[in-house]
Amino acid sequence: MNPGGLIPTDVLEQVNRDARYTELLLQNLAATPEQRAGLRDRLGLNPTPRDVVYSENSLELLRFRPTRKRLHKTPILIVPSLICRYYVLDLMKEHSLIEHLVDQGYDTWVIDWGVPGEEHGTFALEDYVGTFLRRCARQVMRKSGRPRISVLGQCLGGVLALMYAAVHPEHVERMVCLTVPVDFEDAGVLALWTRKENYPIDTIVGTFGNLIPGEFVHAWFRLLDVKATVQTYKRLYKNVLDETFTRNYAALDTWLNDKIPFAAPAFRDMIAHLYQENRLLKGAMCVHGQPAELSAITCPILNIAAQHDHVFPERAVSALNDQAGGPVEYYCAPTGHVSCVVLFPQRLETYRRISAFLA
Amino acid sequence: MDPQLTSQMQKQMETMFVQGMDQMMRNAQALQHFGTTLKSGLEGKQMADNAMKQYLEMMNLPTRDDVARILTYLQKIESRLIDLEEKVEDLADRVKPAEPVRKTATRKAPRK
Repeated sequence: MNPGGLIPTDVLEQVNRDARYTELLLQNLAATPEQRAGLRDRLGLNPTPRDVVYSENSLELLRFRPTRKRLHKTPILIVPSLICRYYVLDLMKEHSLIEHLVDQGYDTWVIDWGVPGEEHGTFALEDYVGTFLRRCARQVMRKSGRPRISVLGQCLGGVLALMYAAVHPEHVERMVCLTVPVDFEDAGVLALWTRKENYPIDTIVGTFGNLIPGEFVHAWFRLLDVKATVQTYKRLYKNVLDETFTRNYAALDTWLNDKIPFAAPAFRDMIAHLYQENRLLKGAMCVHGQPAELSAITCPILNIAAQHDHVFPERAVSALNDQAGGPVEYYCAPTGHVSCVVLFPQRLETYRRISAFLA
Repeated sequence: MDPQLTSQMQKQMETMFVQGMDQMMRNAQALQHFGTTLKSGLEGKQMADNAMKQYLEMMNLPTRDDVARILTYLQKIESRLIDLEEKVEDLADRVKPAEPVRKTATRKAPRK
């Protein structure tokens, strides 16, 4: 609207640019879960067709519908992180690792951990492995009719997957670890922040009770790499009128802001046992009384690290290469923690390596 | 003001801000101070939560813990049912179905 051409065009363009920038910044900040679900639908996130084949509590086991005659017999079970929603692996059409695996003829299954409720206040990390992951793996084996599965674990989900493979090596044919930390002692800024003297984990768990709010867990992530955060906003402002760019930004921003609470006992385990005591590397993690030692994993592993990972540095991920009992193929992607599966064109190489390894 | 000079000043301020924040996020003393502040804030929240809990109990209204307790019981029941289902499936796998008895055809001797 510019009645009589009173307002100069460049001023109008600047106002339009600023308004669009503000809209993009704010659309996720105060969104309710229903609004965020609507935004996911409008942006076409999580597009690959799937069916819920098993559910328990907030968890759903999803089986993605094949798009071609199945070529590979061994099904793949994807174990995502507990901190974020799984659909970063199925972000948008042609930006989806899951879509790629389905198109390559893999029988692809994913555990959607869902949104934890108050009843999750009794679940430790070993419960996620020994109960939920075990049950899901059993369902995959029974419904696919295969005695063994391949497992792909991402981030903290990869830690759960490693523990499962250590306790049940007879069930795992191959493993893919996608930016999975193993050595937490020198695991970057997060390791500094979660040290015993800096992070009162007992007070945190005692205050919040059964669930640690998602806002609390995610509060500091943008400060892990301040330069990258500032560059992101600058790049957004520069490209704010580019529809493709803003659509991609909105997709990732929607996922980043889709915060879910964390079961308090599992959160305590993550901070105390993994970060503060480094039990996974030391072979001191247990699943319902059974030791979960990395040396007990005998299957071949593809270990993917990210060179510019500000969440889990490369050295925290590459430690698996010397610890696993079976052969490890290592690839360091020239990307960040999440961009190894979403950034073009680097994600194509990640997808190619995963599907080639699993074949 | 000269736009080039403004741009240079902006870049310098941005660099200083980024470097300052990065250093602070890695400074042991600063992190310890954050931890102490966080702990104090959480203890304050704990007091407020306890006061609310006492008020709800006084009003004979369910507290968050009451709701959590019920949900935990329900979750345990669900988990036991799933365990039972798995045991039944394992038992069913072990029991082999009995083979059907085949009747052999007999020929009666022809009547003379």
